[in-house]
Amino acid sequence: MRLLHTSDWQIGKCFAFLGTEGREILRDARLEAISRIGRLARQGGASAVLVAGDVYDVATPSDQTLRQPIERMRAFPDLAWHLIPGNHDPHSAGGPWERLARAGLPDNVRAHLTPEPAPIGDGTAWIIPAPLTRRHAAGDPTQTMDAACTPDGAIRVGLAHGSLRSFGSDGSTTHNLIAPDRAETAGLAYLALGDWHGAQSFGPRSWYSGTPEPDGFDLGGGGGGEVLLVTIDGPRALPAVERHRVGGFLWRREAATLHGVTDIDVLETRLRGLHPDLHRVLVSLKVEGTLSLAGRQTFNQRIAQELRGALRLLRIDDAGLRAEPTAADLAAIDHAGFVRDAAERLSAMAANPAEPRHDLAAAALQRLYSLQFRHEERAP
Amino acid sequence: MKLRALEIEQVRKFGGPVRLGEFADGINVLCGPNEFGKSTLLAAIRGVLFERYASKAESVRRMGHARGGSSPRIALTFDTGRGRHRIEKRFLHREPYARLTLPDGHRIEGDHAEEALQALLGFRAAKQGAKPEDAGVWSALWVTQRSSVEQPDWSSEPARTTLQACLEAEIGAVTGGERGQGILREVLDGLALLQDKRGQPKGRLKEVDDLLASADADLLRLADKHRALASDIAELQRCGRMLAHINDADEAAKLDADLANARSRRDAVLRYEDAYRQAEMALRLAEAAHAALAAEAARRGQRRRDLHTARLLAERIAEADAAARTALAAADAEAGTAGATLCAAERAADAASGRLRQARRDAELAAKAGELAAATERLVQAEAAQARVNELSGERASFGADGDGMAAMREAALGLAHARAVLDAQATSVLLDLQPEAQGRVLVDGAPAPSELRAVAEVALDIAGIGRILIRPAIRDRDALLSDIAAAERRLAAALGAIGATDERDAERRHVQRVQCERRLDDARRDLAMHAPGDPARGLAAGAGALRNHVAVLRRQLEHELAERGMPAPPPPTDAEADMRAALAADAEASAALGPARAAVACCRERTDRCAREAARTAAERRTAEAEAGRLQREIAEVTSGESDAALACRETEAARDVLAKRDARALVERARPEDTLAGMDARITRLEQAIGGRRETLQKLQRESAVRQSRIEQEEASGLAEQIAALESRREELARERALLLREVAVLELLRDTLGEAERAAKERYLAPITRRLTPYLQGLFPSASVQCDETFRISGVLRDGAASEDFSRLSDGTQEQIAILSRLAFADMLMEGGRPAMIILDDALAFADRDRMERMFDLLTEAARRVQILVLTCRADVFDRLGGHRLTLEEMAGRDAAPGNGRPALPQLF
Repeated sequence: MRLLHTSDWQIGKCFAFLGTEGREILRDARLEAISRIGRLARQGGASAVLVAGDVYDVATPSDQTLRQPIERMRAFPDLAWHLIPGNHDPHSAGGPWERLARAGLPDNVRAHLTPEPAPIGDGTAWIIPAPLTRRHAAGDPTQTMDAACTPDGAIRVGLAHGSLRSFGSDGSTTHNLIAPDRAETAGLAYLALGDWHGAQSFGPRSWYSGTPEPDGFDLGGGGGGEVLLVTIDGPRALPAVERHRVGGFLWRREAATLHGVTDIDVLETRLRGLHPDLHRVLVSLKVEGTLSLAGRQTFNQRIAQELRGALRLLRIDDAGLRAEPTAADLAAIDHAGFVRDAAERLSAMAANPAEPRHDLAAAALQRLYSLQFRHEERAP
Repeated sequence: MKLRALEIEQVRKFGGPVRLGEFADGINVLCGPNEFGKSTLLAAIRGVLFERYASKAESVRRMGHARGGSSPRIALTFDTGRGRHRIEKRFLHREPYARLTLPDGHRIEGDHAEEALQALLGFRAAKQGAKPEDAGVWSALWVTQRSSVEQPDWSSEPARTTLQACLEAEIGAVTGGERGQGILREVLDGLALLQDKRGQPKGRLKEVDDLLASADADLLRLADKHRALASDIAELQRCGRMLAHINDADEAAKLDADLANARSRRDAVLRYEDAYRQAEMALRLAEAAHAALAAEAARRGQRRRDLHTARLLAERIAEADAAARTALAAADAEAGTAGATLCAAERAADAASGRLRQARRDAELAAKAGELAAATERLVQAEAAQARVNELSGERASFGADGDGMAAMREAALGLAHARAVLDAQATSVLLDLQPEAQGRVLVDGAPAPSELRAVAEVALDIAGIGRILIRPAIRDRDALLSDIAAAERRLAAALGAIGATDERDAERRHVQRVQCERRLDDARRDLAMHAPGDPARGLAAGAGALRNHVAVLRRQLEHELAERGMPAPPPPTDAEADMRAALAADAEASAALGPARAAVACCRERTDRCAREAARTAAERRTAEAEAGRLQREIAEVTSGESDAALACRETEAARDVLAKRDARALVERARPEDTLAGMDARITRLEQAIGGRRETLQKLQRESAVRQSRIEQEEASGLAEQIAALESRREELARERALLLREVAVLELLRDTLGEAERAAKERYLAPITRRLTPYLQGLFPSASVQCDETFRISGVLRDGAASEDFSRLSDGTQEQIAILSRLAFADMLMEGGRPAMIILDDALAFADRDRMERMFDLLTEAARRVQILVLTCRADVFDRLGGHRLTLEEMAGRDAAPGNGRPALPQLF
């Protein structure tokens, strides 16, 4: 049989740092991903889609947010969508699942709100869900899978949300921890996991699909934007897992060391080559190195201004980029006079690490440099 | 530059050509009184240098001679570093000219001369008359009248350029000013977008602050709503559990059964209590009937005892009544006796009073007779005194020589003596010392000759045997003197006539007699006053007449009273006095007897009243006791006639038996008493009813509450609280990031502003250093340890003295401002000359506000500066400026060259 494994849709997630327009675009992109998943499942011959938790970003979404993914799934009546509550949308009193239960779900959508096993399709495979009833469960939500009863010969497929112990957990996380050998102890042919946003496997049977639409720069694994098409031939057969990219946006963390205009040229070329459509790219750029005032002016103009306009988002961390005014820079500001004197004072302050305002001084010097140019441009 | 000589002709008050000079190096002083023409000379220097020769501007026309129609000619000889020059111009002439003679003797004419002069001295060509700003540094260095307090103005071109060139030559090129200001303005503009003048957020920064505050408030509100939602959910679950419990049917049935059982047991208790109440009531009725019969028997016994007691009391009261009547009769008899005694005493007292009144009238009559006799006696003496007074008054009048008449007479006699003495003083004195044998042979006016003769008129001296000698004294105004004597004699005769005297001696004798008479008259008047004094208390005036009237009145009164009493004469006083004393004693005795009699009567009356009251009381008590005994007797008879005492006793025994029977019946009922109490059963029923009702109420309440909470939960769920909170938190983070960026922008701009400002201040200080360096020694010559601050227009903005805070220049006194302004000119002149530029100082009527000490110091400083720069001082205060020293300039007439016809040449004004 063939299944499509996805998770962490987090519908309703807010991207305030993008502004109103960008926020709406990325919110819509997460809904669009559902349709793309449905189409991919059809194309890939999957009869069911397993969503391993965190369908919603928050426990109390608005009615519109609550209904939007349901309606997307309703549009694929030939597919059975199996959902479980995750840590973002646990099944608790007043939670989204209770509201959905009250309102009713389409026939092709099933929310597994208890750990009761349920057949998938004709019963060849049985899903053993591990729904979360609270954001932070103290125990292993998959513990009941070991004793879950399914018909003999049925393919047991686990569906859970949480962190595998020793898998990326840093020790500080003590909730929703899943035993790493759960697939073996519970006799699972496949354990479909959610919570981590980058696609990863842990052993041949335990997989995180990651979020279908990336929502950050450090998602781990494949970086997000993927779903898994899983083929299981028998109860103990190893699953064949295909990774498919469905994400519409590219989130990239980039770094560069700059020492001159040439480096800036290279960086610009690299960033412009990330995607044919730069409006679908979000970049977190960390720059280091040393630039003259003229170089920094170029960087500001070509990267911080022009390229920022091209990208959906450009976040620049330039704490490591030092300004090193050259004689030509200072001469460009002025040959003499008090402006030149001020430039030299700021330059000395910026070059002195013991000076508490050295970074402000560097910025002020850069500003003075650009103001000088602007003033000259305006002068007749 | 050093001036050497000035020639002028037809300039203002100067007609013919005059020459000022020769100027020396250093200080040149031109002293002259007001209207000497000093300012004209200074105007001429300005005119020949800065006015164009062909100009007809107002400033040029003002240079013309006072009478008009002139064409001023001015020539100035001066030295520069290149040598001696001479510029000569004629203005307002049909052929005006300008001639500049160079050190080499070469002469340039017309416009070329003007241009060469401008280049040489660094000023700007004047278009419509030379203005101060055209004159370059000269306008700043030359102090005109009334402007010495003002600082030199370097703001206009070419003065500023010249000065800047000097500064730049000294400190190097100074750039960046305007561009720097532009950048600084942009920085300030940028800063002004984000914060106001007080450093408060503005523009987008304020918007972000407000949005953040709003977001925080919204987050708090949403958090509250979220908590309320969680509470609603928890409460809804609790309601659900309680509803399940209330809907338990078994529990409801058990409650109903318990209620029915409680009600049944309550009915049983009610029945028992009803039966017990009836038995109790019957017992109470029997006991009441028995008690009523017993009471009746007791009342009958008591009534008989009361009758006996009433009778005994009536008897005792009758006895007391009889005793009271007896006592009343005795008291009445005693009162009659006392009344008779009192009547006798009263009659005796009346008789004594009558005698006393009679005695008093007799005594008064005797006293009046005595008074009349005394008055009569005084009247006799008074009338004698009055007669003496009258007699002496007449005698006094006969002497006539009163004080006024005597004074007039004495004055007239004195006047006559004086007149005679005047004549006598001029009389011719003739001494006749005759031999004894010649006595009688010599006659004067026929009389024997005296030993001395004072002749005032012709005197004939007959000498027997010899002849007659006529002596005619020569007395000036003799007739007038004689007339005076005659007038005086008339006045004396009149005065003597007025007082009735024949001569002065008679007058004096009369006067003495009159005085003696007046003394006797005074004695007689005193006697009169003594015998007939006035008595205002009795309305009696002083004098014999009044006394006479008084005596008449007294006599009439006495006669009237005697007639009234029928007495022939008043009783002797001694008899009247004895009668009076006897009557008084009798009256006192009668009055003493009256008191005890009255007291006895009052005492008897009181006792009679008391006895009467006692008798009335006992009579009333006797009647009451007799009535009470009668009433009791009637009641006993009435009761016993209805039912006898035996029948009553029988009925009482029967009633006692009935009481015992009813008590047994109640005990029988009490033995069937149930265990429950009515209150206990009522409480149980109430409790069970409330429990059943409460379940219904609680059920309804829980259902309502569940519905409300469910509705509220659904409403809040629909709005997506968590989603809103997440969105808001995200928005808040975005705003916080923007705020951090804006604050960094502010910090960057502030740092840039501050750094530019500091650099600009430092640059200005460097730029102005050459000026302050040169000015400071001058200033310290006036104020030790002082220093100055200059602004970018080269004006002194502040002065620091004695380590105190900077003083604003404009707040200094006029004198100090003037002195510092002059010193600054010396400093600028030094700097210009060191920079190879021409410079000299002219001070017209300056140092007007300096005190003596400051003036001395200023003179020292001017002298010191004059070692390097030529200074021309124009002043009208020769006495003060004598101490300045320097070269004294003189104004000399020149031989006429181009004297205008008809222009008179007034004498040159005098120099001090």
